Amino acid sequence: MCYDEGTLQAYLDRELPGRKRWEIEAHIATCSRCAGLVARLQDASLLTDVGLTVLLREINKQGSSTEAAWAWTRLTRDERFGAPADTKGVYTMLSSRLKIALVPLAAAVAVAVALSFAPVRTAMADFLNVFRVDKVNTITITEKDISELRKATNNGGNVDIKNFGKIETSGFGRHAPQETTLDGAKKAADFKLKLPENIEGAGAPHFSAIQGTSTSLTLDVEKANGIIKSFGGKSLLPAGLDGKKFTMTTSAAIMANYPRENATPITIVQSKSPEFVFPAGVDPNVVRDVLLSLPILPDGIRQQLEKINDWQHTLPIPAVEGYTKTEQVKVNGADGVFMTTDKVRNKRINGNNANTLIWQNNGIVYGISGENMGLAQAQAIAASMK
Amino acid sequence: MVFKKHPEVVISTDNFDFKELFDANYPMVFRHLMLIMGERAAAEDLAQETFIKLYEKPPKEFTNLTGWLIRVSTNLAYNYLRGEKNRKKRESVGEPTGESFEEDFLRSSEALEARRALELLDEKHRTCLILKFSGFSYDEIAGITGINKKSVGKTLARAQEKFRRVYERKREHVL
Repeated sequence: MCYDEGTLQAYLDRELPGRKRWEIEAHIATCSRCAGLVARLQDASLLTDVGLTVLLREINKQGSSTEAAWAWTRLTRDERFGAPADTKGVYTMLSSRLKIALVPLAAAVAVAVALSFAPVRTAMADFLNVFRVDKVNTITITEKDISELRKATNNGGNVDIKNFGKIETSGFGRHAPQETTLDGAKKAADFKLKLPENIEGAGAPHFSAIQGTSTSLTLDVEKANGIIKSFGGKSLLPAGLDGKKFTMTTSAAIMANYPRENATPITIVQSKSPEFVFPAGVDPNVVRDVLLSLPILPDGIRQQLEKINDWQHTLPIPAVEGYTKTEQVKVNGADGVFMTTDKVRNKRINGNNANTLIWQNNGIVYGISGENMGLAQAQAIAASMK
Repeated sequence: MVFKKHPEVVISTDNFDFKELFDANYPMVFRHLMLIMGERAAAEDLAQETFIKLYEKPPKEFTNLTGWLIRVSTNLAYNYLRGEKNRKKRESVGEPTGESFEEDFLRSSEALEARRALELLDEKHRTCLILKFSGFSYDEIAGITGINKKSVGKTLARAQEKFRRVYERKREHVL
């Protein structure tokens, strides 16, 4: 009686009890068909072992650090199970990645990027398109800081983010604000719009929407470290970050412009806080420390950034000393920042001299901005927004 | 609830030392996922996810912790691969699709051929092959995959034959 290949495979793998083994051995000795089948199975087993051994050797060479893996796992565990009950269960497979509303990259890059080209932007639309936050905090930047930074970036070559790895973007096609109606704005916003019934001295609003965007950077650690070194950076990104993907997603921002007779319009901008997705296995603090230790960051700015404790949720608003004055204020009970500008000097670098009130409420960042708008007026508008 | 970690050590699952279990088992889980998926970042993610599941909902008994970890990680891996495949299908309509693995790390072309040969196996065959290679018994393979123990031999024979056919051809091509 001949045996099927499954039984013969089990025989080869020593999975059969002693008696059965002997029976088969005796049979193979006399049956060329089964002997041939066993030889073929053995062949295939051997070759499979060779193939998988080669593969495993390659895998082991690349090994994964248990220590590092533990650090991320603990972080994820704490984040999920140490977090308040209502945030549990929102994590799907992909969000074994840490979701962080705002990260050091934003903090350091915000400043670096904002300052690497001439005008320090105080236009809110620009901020809201790039960062959204739970808190706002101002950072005072001196003119000396700006010139230092500019000098550093000029000497250090290309700081273009493209040189740090592979960039994928979506939603940038219609980066510029698109004019729309109130209904269109409501549709474009993925949150509930809040608007004042009317603003004294201003007409009915015109709306425009800025599309949400998503940008991912798949880090090329070697290249990035090359750039960091070219700036004289001592602390480098760990090799474990290579190939890791960082994603920043912004939601649609809605702008409402309220025209005024003898002044530029009052603008109300609102948008959801941006989300920064850090890949699993990346300690955000490590990245933050590397960025903060970049020598291109002037000391004064570095110290201020370092002082922000809740940096994951705080938007640093660069305010240039002598041009912009900032004041921590209350807006509907929440913390906010009121920025006033030195009219003459600010007009020169920014092309406008609007005063701006920025605050955050329930994951939405709001800003009201207008020329000659006082704090009391801005607060009154904010209070009437429903 | 008690389990035997080593025959002489009895630990309660109520307050097990998560870190100790992690340290002892992570390399095995990672290796297993690397063999199935070949994609390092995903293997690391899913190994982590496996241990998070262990933390969140440990099995009632730890008598077969290895089997539990391998079963959970295997399921996560194929769910992920199926999702990736669908995603790629959606993103590139009309283009031929297949599972694609991150192959950059495979410096050895022979390892790459082994990887590709594995890719061509279906889930059941791939899992059985890897488990046997990793030293699991038929009993354990049956427990992890849900295949009847009596069919494990047959499944392995077929899987190895398929693997051999592809790998041999590719290897000849390379060598």
